[in-house]
Amino acid sequence: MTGGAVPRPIKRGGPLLLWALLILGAALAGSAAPVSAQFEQRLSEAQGEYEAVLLDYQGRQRTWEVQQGRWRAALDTARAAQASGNTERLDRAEQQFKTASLELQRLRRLVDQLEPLLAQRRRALQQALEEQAESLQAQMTRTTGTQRQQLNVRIGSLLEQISSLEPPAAPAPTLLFFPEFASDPRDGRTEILGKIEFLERRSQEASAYLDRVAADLQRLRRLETQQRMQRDAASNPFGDDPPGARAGRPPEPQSPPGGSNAATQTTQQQIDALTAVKSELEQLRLQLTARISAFRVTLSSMGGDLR
Amino acid sequence: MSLKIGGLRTAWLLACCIMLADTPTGVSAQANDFVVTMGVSAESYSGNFSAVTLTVVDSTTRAAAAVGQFGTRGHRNFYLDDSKTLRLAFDGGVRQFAAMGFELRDYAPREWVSQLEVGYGQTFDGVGRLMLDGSYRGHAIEDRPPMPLFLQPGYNAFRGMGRFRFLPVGGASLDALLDLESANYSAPAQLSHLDLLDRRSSGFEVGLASGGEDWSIRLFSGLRWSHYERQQFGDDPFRRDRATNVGATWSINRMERDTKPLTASLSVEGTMNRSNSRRPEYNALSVTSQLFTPLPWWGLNASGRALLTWKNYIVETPFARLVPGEEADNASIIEAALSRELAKNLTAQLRFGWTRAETDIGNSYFERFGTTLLFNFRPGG
Repeated sequence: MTGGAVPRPIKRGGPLLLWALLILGAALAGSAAPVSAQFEQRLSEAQGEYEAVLLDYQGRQRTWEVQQGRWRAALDTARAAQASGNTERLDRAEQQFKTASLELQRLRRLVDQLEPLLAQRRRALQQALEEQAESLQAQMTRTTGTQRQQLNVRIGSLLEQISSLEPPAAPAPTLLFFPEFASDPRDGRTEILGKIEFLERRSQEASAYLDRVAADLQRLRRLETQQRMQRDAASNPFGDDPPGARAGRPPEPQSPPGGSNAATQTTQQQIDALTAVKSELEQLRLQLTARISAFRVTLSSMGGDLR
Repeated sequence: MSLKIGGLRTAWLLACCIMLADTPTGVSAQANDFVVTMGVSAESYSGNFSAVTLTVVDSTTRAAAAVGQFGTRGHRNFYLDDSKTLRLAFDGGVRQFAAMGFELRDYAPREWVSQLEVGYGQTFDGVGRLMLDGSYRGHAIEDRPPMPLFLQPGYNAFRGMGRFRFLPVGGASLDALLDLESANYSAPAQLSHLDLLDRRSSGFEVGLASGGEDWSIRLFSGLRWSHYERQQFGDDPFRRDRATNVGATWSINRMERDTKPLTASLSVEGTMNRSNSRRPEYNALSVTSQLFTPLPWWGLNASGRALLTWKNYIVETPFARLVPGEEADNASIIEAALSRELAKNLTAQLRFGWTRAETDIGNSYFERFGTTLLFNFRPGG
């Protein structure tokens, strides 16, 4: 009897503690809901901002790729015009080629310009995803059963998203010139030899064109230097011709750039255009040389003579 | 005076900032040249004349000066689209003289100049090209010496100009030019008659140009009206001049040639100035020539400029009061220079100059000889 009369605080306190825990749980659940909604909203915003920039970036990249096709066509036209020996046709074709090169560079710059913003938005999205995952992780510790499983799946999906957003370790590969002449595992010896021959011919043409462009650039730079010297010689702000010194004559007009015809390019514009041509041709030659080497390695791994 | 110099300096600094600023989005800029110049000169002046625009008179007939100068200049071209261009240009600097040879005292004049220009061009398909140009030229001077060391008084001049060049028809192209100018002289209290030089003028010129692959010839003729609203004559409210000019310019540009490249021009122009005042009525003939050519030795370039003027007054007035270089076709100038590139962004120039200009007294001239060593540095390479 005596033992039975001993008070049992646990028993009395058990329902009390249970009630307290229930109330606390309800309170926690009540406050977790808006926190979670906040995370969701931030994530949704970050997602939207990233996708908008990504869309723009991809659009710019596609435009650049299209322009590269035009550039190749302009190169072919210039080559054909050169072979024809028709000066007028060659001038026109070369002008188009310069314009295409400048445009190609401009579009590449547009792609490059967007890269920092894209990286920034990507980081922001990753951060939002990480915060969301951490929040779910915290929720998971408080749940069991099916809900816990669901949260686990959701966290897995978030982690997957985070890793898929990681930027590539190496810079994005540059677009291939003549992509149809890229490596293909189905290629046999004959196909590879054919590709090597085509690419070598193209590389030689690019080299010959580059030599001409380099010579033209040298001439234009010399001309630009002389024009600068000429401007230096003509400039004299402390000159002896005061206003009205030649009262009968209206002032000499300064012709705006391009003179009477807007299509006429200044020396600096011509240099810029040729520099763009040179840069693209150099890239083309580098890529062709690299691909020819790769094809040769493949060919030698097949055994036998390379030629 | 100090306020004017302050304004001039501000304009100069502002122009430098515009030149170095980023290009607005959507506009392709080209350009562009930005040059810092530094140089030293030795100059000698001769003539024993007084000047109406000076308060001090010195009895010396010869004066000399050592001069140091610093300046910047540049231009920037903006391609708004395929047919429209905008050009900004400026040129300005400061020159410090140490003048010697005067009887009264040695002078140390300091001269500030600034020139700003905005040009707009637009091509109209199948018609031609329109060019609009607005410019400001300012000049300020401290401790201005007496004659014969002539330095211009301070002034501000504004110009607006429009020119249309039609596309060639049958190998010849027509152009028409209209311009407006306003010049305002800074007259200190003790030299209020400097205001007499304040002027508003407008001009119209038409030209016909033709030529070959690297040369052209342009015949031109024009009319010019000048109003000196502070010069009153009898019943006339103010002095009004009308000048008619006719001339021809031949020019050649062979700079793109690999052998013997050069640019040169020769211009002959006759001017007939008539006025409601008999004093400044004259007929003048001027010949201008310019040349620039690389020399075959040591990477040198030679350049030259000559402006020779002959003038006859309709009425001889021994006390005709003119201001040197201000009122008439009265200056003859010969300049020759050798220049060379010292580094990719540094050129040096040795200039020789001779000037003969009319003084206050009609048909009396002062002379100036000068040698300048000038360095042009391009910070942008």
